Amino acid sequence: MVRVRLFAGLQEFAKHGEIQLHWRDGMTVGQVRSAIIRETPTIEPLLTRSKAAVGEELAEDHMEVPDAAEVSFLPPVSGG
Amino acid sequence: MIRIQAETIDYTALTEAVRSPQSGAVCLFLGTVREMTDGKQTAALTYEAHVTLAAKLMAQVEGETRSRWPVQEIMLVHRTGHLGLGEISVAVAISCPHRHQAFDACRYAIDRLKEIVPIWKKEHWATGGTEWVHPDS
Repeated sequence: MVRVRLFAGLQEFAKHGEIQLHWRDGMTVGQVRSAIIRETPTIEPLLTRSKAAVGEELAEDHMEVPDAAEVSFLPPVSGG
Repeated sequence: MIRIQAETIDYTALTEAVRSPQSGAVCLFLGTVREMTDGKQTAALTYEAHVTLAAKLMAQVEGETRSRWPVQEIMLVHRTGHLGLGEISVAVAISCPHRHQAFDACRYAIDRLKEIVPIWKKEHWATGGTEWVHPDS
C-alpha cells in the first residue's frame, strides 16, 4: 500500500487528507498523481501545480515509489 | 534553531536567545496576521504544515543563511493552527557581528522560508467563507 497525503487546498477536492493506494512494482510518483486525478478530476489544476515528496524527500514524477511509502502532495506554499 | 509550534510565539525570549557579546547586531522579523488583503477583510487565519518536511526545510534555510553570513545565532519559528488578527505567525531572530549582515541575513531567511517551506494559510473572511492561499507562481 501507498499512503498519500494531500495538503491545504488539495483536501477541499478530495474530501480526505489521506488516501490509500494499492502499490505496484515500478510505480512512479507521476502514476500516483494520475491515479488521484482519475479518482477526482476537479483536483487536476491544483495537483498539477503541486510538488511531491516521498517520505521527507522532495521527489520528481519519474521517481519510483517504494512499497509502504508515504507520498505527499504540496500545493504552492503560503506560509509566513 | 528552528521550531514549528501551536503555541504563541514569545518574541522577547527569541530575541534574548540570539543576543551575545560576540554580536553587535540583532534583527527580529515578525510576520503578523493582517486584516486587509486586496480590499478583503480577514477575520482569522489557519496555518497547516507538513511538519516533518517543513522542519527539514527550515533547517535547510538556517544552513543556507549561516553559509552566507557570519551568523552567531538564528531562531526560525512558525506557528500552526488558528490565529487571530495581529497574532504572530512567523518569527526570525538573528545575530551577527555587524548590522548590514544581520539585516541581509534576516531578509534572506524569511524570504527563503516563504519560498520553500511547506506551510499554508487558509483565509477566514470577515464576510464568511474560507479560502486556501496558493500563489500562482
